[in-house]
Amino acid sequence: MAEKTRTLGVSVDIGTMNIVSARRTEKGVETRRMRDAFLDLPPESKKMLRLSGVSYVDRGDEILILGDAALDTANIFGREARRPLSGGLISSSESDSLEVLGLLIRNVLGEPVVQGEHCYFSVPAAPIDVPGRDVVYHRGVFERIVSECGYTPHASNEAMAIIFSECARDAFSGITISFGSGMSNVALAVNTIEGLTFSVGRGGDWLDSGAAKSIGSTAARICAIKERGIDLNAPEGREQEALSFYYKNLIEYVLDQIALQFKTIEGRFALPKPIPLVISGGTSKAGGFLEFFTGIFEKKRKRFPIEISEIRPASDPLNAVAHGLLVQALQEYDE
Amino acid sequence: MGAVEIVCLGDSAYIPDLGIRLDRGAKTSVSLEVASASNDLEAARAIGLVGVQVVKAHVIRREGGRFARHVEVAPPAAQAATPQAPFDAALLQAIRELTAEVRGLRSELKGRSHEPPDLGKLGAEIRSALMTLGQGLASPQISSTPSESPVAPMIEEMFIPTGIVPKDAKAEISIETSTEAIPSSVDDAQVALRKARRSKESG
Repeated sequence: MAEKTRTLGVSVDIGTMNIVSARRTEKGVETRRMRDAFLDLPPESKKMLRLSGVSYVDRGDEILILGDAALDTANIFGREARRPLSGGLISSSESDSLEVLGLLIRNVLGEPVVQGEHCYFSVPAAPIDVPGRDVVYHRGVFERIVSECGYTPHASNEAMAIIFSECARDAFSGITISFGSGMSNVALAVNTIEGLTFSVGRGGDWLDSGAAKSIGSTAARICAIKERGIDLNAPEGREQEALSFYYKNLIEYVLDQIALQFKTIEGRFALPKPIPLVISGGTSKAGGFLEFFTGIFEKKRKRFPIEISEIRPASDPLNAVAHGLLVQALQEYDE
Repeated sequence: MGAVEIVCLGDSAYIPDLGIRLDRGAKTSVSLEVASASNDLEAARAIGLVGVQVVKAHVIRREGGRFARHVEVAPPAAQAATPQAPFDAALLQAIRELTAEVRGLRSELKGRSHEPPDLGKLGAEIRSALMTLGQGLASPQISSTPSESPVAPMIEEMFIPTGIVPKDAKAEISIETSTEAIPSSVDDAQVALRKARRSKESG
């Protein structure tokens, strides 16, 4: 019974690009990942999809392809896969968002071990540079979805989750930055206590779009160049240079916002000693990112209001949020 | 007047009947009326090339949608204290037609400068038009509780809908699954949190 109790607790990181769940098993930590995208096709496509072995959801009046297969199939049909999240939050322009998200999350989470099993899910902070956007509806929808999947839902800030997964050796104190696809999330904490969380509406999609526009290319092409491999410190060719330029702008922007936001709490939140800065998120996986980031930070260090002990990458940038949420979920059952 | 924001979700989007061209991530605003009348916008939205978000509307209804969601409604000016009758599209259209008819009658009356207006006849015409209006519609009742109202409110009460996760959808979906030895990050964190909790409990 105690052994079974140990495996209770699950997490799900809900991002613009990927949905990732994590659960502790006897063999280790199992992560399940799906691309946060879908494609709708007419029912007649069913036969073709079966022949090609593509997984789909039959909704009667239409077929939905979910996840990575949606992107692949969209390319074949010369279409764009649809994304239920936009800029890190539920896309209100996507009329099928809610049901698709329900399907994605139910499949990534699977069935609960026991009814009402505790599940921690990620919620971004409201973007400070996108007026009118808040996370109230976004959070409410996912609480409902997770609950309908048979779990007890707990919302937890995305960047704070990284504090739990990456800052244990620093007494859960540090600054974490999650460079996502739709937005970048920041958290500052001391001894697990949250001092500051916010997000900015710039991430991987912003990079692709900006770099593409600046040189008359397409975001899809820029994204492909990024994924093929780039050294931000030694870009080759016009497209890589554009990408490197926008990465620099993104990093400077985030660091400036951290400094600005910290000023608002400085008098109320004391930092007893230097703290680490941890970088995470899929957008941070570009070649040479850590060195690039550190170089930019060093130029700002003298004026930066927070003493930083070290800058380091998350041990697993794609799963750091899911792991941190899992840590919190496991605490619900820890004796 | 409502407004919508159009955002390009693909590499680029061109909406011919609106004369709008957008690159990925770019946004533009148009009036709700213009957006509603654009077939090209609807076609682009249907294939996921653009996203359309209502920025400001008095009422929004999704035709044939599975879920309703709450949208911001401009507060009625200075009449919040009085109960308002439920409202639907048919009623709105009928009132528009009646308004046009009354305006037409007014113009006609202005043209008859030497003849005094036959208010009796005008009144009868208006009464007749209202009677016709009333026959075609359910009689609106003002009720203090939504469950008693025979006419469904246009703004549905559900902010976060229920039944989002479909129980009956047949799903064949592949998921990328990986299992790794417990990451030190998770293990270290659990140990540290347990230690912190116990030291707190022991005082």
